[in-house]
Amino acid sequence: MTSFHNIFIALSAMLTLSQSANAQIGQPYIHDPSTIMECNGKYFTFGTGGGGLISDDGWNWKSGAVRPGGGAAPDAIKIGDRYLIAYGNSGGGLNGGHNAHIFTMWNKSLDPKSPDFKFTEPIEVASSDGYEDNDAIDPGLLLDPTSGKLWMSYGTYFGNIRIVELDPKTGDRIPGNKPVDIAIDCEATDLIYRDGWYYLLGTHGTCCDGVNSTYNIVVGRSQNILGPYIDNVGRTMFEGGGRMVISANNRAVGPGHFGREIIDNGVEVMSCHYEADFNRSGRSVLAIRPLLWKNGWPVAGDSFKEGDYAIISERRGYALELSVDFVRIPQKQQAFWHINPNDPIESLPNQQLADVIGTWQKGDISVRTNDYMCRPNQLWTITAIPEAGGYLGGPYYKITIKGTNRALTATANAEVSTVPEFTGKLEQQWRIEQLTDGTYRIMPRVIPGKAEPNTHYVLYSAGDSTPTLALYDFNTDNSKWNFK
Amino acid sequence: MKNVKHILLSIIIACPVLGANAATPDTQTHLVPWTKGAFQTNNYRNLFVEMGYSKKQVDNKLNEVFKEVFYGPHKVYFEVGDSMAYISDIKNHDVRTEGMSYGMMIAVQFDRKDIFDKIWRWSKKYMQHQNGPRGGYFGWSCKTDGTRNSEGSASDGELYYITSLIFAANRWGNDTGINYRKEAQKIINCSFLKNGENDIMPLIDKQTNLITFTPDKFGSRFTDPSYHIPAFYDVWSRWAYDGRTDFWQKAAASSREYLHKVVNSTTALNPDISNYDGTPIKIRDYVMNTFRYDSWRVPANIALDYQWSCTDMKWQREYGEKIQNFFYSKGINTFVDQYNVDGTLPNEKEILAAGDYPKALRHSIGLLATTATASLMCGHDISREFVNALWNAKHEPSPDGYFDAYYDGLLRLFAFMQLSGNYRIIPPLHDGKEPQLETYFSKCKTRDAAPDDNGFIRRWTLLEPIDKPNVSNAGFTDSYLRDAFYHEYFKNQQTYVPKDGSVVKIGSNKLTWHSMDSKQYNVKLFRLASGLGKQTYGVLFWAVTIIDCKEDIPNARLAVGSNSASMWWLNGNETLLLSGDRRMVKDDCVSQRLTLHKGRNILRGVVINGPGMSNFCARFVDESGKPIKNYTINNM
Repeated sequence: MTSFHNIFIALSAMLTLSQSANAQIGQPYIHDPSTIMECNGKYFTFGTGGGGLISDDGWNWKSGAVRPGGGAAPDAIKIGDRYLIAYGNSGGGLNGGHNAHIFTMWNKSLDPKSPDFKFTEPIEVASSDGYEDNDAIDPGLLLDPTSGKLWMSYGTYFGNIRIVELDPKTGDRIPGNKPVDIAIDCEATDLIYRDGWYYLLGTHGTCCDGVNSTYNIVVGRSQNILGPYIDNVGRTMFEGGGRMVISANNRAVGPGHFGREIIDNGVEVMSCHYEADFNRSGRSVLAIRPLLWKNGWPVAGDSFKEGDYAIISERRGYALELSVDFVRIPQKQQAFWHINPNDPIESLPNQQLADVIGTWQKGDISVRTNDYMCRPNQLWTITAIPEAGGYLGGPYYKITIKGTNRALTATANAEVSTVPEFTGKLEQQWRIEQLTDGTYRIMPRVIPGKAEPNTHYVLYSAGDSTPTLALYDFNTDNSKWNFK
Repeated sequence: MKNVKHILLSIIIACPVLGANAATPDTQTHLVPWTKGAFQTNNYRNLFVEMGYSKKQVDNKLNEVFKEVFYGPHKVYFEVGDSMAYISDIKNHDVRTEGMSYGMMIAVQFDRKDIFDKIWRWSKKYMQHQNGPRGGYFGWSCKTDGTRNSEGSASDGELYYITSLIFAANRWGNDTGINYRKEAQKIINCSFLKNGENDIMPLIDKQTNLITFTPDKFGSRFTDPSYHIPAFYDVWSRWAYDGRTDFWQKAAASSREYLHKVVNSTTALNPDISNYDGTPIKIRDYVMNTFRYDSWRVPANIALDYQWSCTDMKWQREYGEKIQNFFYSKGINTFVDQYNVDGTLPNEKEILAAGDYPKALRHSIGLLATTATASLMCGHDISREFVNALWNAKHEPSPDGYFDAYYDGLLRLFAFMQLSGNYRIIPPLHDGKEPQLETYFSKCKTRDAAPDDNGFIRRWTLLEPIDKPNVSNAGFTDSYLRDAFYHEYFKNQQTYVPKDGSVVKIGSNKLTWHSMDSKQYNVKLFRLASGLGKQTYGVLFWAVTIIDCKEDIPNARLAVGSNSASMWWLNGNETLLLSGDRRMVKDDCVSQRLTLHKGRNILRGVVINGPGMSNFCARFVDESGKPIKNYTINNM
């Protein structure tokens, strides 16, 4: 069991690598990332050893965030118009040790270029004496939306995870507040709240062992902030319980240090680091994954994968298609009562693009939703546009009819159509986000003539058969789509 | 322990000094500077002993010098009532933060809490501003009755106050009446809040990370080379617990970089004050470029940085030899106490007077002391001569009657401390206490115990940890564990049923079995080890318990969680292996169905851990996962 938290992660002079399916692009090298904060339209996360990452779009990351204080594993939260950062410092006697201290500091801005960027002086809010069953590092912050109270969980494998109450106005400890033990054998905990439940996320497994790290994130929940936090089989986290939120991916291992970011109602992502990304020399990298909620439990979704898909409406189960003539597939029809079961079985070919493309109009072709019939006008190729950048957790995509460059586009009247050639225009770039229920929303980057970037209008079922662009609403299936 | 030490120390101080003079030490041994600092090694050279002085001679000499400063006829330490004391710069008839904070540093190094506390109380009462724009800072000079001569501060005082307070916190803890760490943090935190209002500035210049000459609008425009002790910031970075580790690391690095610039590349001398970039300060046409009293401390400071940190080894060694070469070239018994940085003698205007004495150049023991200290980073032959010269030098009036009990006396004492390995980093010793064994375990009181409400077996006979070094748990594969667990550590280990107090011999070690009831559902082996004063990491624990059943209990499963890996046997049959770097999780691994037999069953386990808080929990569960509780546990 290891708790090597004072690992210094080099963040500079990294190789340029092609986009990885698991991780953010750029140079997202970090260990113990804090919950991602948005400030001045940019995104920030802080890591162990000082500093952190900065991103203009949430997809392309580079070092450059500034956090004084040193130490390990910070967390961040926005309260009112200020950001509160908490971080731990292990005193470390000559033999190392668990004499540790957690500090908080405020800043009005996280952007080092902002004139408001000035950290307040650190305040100690929790400590461990080096012997007791606690190691006061690894803070996780939660502003309780039901009470307005500010809570902080902290601790490592050395003893218990504890929770204390802070003053959301000062960032200082509430006078007289005593820590409460809520879990054992965790590191890098975080607290979140949803629908009457408090969730304690903790990292189990071995950290800091590169491609052999077994770090993974588990969760327990409670209707009381002070616990007990119970897992899916009724075990408390004080008994080592926890339901898996995220473990290794096939090319990245050791997820740790959970953070939750709510983008919109029903649109959530989680951030963490992978101890090792096999596509990036086994370095520790920032990861952002959709956060799904299944039966009241948070679980990491998969990053969207490029490929060929039918785009199916959640409203009716119809497929998005080009509005072109339905071309029948010729078949020798036999009345079923005449079928001889002993006749050889024949595999019928799918309808091919070449079979039908000649029948399609040449210019813009509108789209509709219709019975899914596996036809070429219903089959879309979805490809990331590397030079287009992205948004929190993903790149922009082009959506083209398979085998063609005919691209899905937003139109000036907030409708949706296709153009014969993908030209890279912003209205042809799409943001694809998995929602908390596992469905997706599909959003054009811009709508011609409307404010940029578009963050509200999504591909939307105006009727069973009629797609349009309309205001995203998680509470209606009209906003939701699936890929198959 | 501490009291005994106090008594011993006061006896030594009270006794007449044993003859410890002018020994002829071995002149052959070549002095070789170390290549690692005490932060890393926790070791210190005793240069006198290396040169052939006996340990006893050196201890006596050190105590003699200490006594001269604190108790002798020329002492500078004066107690006021029962609870306060000051250190006076006799020649200037005042009390300075410099001397007060030096006194505290010496006191904490000598484990003299009495002296430390007395000086601190005087400092806090008379010198420290408790509020107002200077709040947290100290007036640098007071009359001996406590009246302030100056409201303003000299940053080296704060520097030494902070460091000595941190060491006091580390050595004595913070609950003996003075919260040393809080006092240190108060000075630091106050400093960071100064923003130029009322002309008061931070101690450390925010642009350069270098210490100010004085923390005000005037003195914050330049610095004093003798205020630079980079290793002090390494101490703050570790133990100020002020949340600024990175800042202090930067300050240490900046300070080392600055020293490179301010020191003359030929003579190794430096000016008393300089700009932050190391260039001399010019006032109109006058260039201030003279090495005088303040500057004496620079070689000792750099030697301390070398001794403690050793991160600037190459340059510091060159520096040490260069500055000794310079003074040696002026005659080891004749070099004077003030030079221009280029090595020429200062003119009448540039010579500083001290106290009421007339301006003069002298061969001062304070400067001899600091240059001798540089021997810690020197490998050349003359460094021995400096050490011998210091050993033999008497602290007595110069031919012209000049005598400085204070500055010369303190620098001489520091030099003896440093050269004998008694000026040390004091790491935290008393911030917390190891929890007592009784917090986690109790002795078995009744004959029979029952599993707890959830079926956990809390009564075990546990063997003290067997030394099994593993720096990490990465290697706990099934094969490794089988080898480690089936290795025979003691005779009959698979059948032996120990009793409380039973002893087994492992190698040359005798380890004892302890029958215990765990106060928690999980058995905290780490706390067993720490509570018994045994090693906690790199260990292997054996656990045995006896389960008595009134009837056969079929279809039972043993359910175990352990930190880290473990193996379990029921009645001699291997039942469970928990492999890998594992955390303790209730019902983590569960055995196949087994039968607890009517009568006696022996449950045996072994838990291995490298670094980590070893513990386990074990219970029997039935077909539906519910705890089995209809048996008794009897290890008495």
